[in-house]
Amino acid sequence: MKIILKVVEYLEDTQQIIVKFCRKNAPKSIDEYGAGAIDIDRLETAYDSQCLIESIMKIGYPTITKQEKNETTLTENSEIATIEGTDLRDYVGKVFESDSGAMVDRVSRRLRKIIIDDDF
Amino acid sequence: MTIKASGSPLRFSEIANEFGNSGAQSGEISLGSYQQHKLSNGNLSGYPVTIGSVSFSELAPGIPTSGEIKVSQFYSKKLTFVVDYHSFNADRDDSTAHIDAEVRWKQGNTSQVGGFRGTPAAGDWNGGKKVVINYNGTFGSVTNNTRSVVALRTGQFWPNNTEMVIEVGPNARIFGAGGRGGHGSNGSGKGGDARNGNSALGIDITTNSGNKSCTINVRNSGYIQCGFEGGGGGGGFYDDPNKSDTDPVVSGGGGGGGAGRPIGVGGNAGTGSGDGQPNGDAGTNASQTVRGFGGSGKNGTQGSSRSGDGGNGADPSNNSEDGDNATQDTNSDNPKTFSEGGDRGLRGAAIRKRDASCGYTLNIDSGGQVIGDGNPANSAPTGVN
Repeated sequence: MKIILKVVEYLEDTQQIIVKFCRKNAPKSIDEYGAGAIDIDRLETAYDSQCLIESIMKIGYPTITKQEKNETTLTENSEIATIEGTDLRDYVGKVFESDSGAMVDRVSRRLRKIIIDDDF
Repeated sequence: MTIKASGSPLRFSEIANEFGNSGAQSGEISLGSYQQHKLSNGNLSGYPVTIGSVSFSELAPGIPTSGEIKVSQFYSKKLTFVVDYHSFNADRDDSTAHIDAEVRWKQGNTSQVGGFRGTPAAGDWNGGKKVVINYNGTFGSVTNNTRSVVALRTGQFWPNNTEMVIEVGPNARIFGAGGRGGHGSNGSGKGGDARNGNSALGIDITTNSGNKSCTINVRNSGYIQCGFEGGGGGGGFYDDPNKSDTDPVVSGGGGGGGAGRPIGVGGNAGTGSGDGQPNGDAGTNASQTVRGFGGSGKNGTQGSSRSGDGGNGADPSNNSEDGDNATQDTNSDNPKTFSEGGDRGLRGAAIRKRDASCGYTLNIDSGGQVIGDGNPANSAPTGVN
């Protein structure tokens, strides 16, 4: 996932920036997302722009994940089917769902079992 | 009205009692001089005259500013004076001396239209006065979890027959204080609850008796904003995800601060994570008008459980959020403790009133803003501190 930010204001008096975040492929313009304030002393300004931008991104990341979680689901995508069997002919034309986080978990569990079996 | 209504002859002394002596010598009055305003240097200036951000076109409605002037034109007229909130900026956080307009009036921090007399005392009310409270600077509240705490208030004990007009000028910015974000959890505990915002302007003049009234005029660019609440802190977790000896205890992130003046500061970073485990990040501070972000929760070094993110604070465009609950690795061998996030705070008001005996009429010019409860007037909560 690519994430983007926009610094909408620099508050010199209070040494803060006002920033907006969203996913690069978000369904609306970054200008339509809510802004938030960040104190400049929370940011990595001693090195280069990449470090600075990453330090801002790090603060905005939880907000971006919430945006994704709160996005409304298209009605076309909200009818989720449930099937017991594994006959793929029954699956054609139906929509199924799974948590993307679970995909990562299954891979790492398999690797762990291999290592443990070797040790014992 | 201060000067009596028509029906009996009007003495010069009755006019002088109300508006002051306008003659060149002490104790004298000159009717013609009432057509002008006496400046602080003693010179006379024609109307209109500006005091603070308020322009006055005559001594009192119906008193001519040129040509013939007659004693009879002074029947039923009353003095207008301005309570000074236009020559300074102040926060309740730094000083409490200025917050009550009634106190500032009694201390003599006023200018009188006409300029021929000093501040009227309560005993000089003579049946009525028009009081203009002219806010035209930046005024903040004090950080306090009690939502009824205000930055400024009218004061309660104004004499009967007070016509109060609050002029929120183009440079006025009046804020309630923002609420602090909730702290990130201690270890696997619950996230901290956020603090409330408080309020900007309190109306505590009684208006349902004693022939008293209160009108608030918010001029172009004038700005009144409630104090917004902070976001809740994130919850922590304790997990035993696998056969590793390392069982992560990870704290949650702090909540973001709420917008206001003083600003709502971000909640502290989580504390008490286990050895080698990260703590949740601190929330960020808000600005006067923009919320702070909640701090990030963290994964432990084993498993995929995650502590809760802090909730974002609130501002005029965004509601606050509770802190996130810690989330459990669904494949954990032996899940232990997964705590809830803290609650978001509650919001202050832009304008509140002491109780049901206090009312006001609110007029907002194009370009003026009143953000929060109290706009419209029937949404004002009660209680002023």
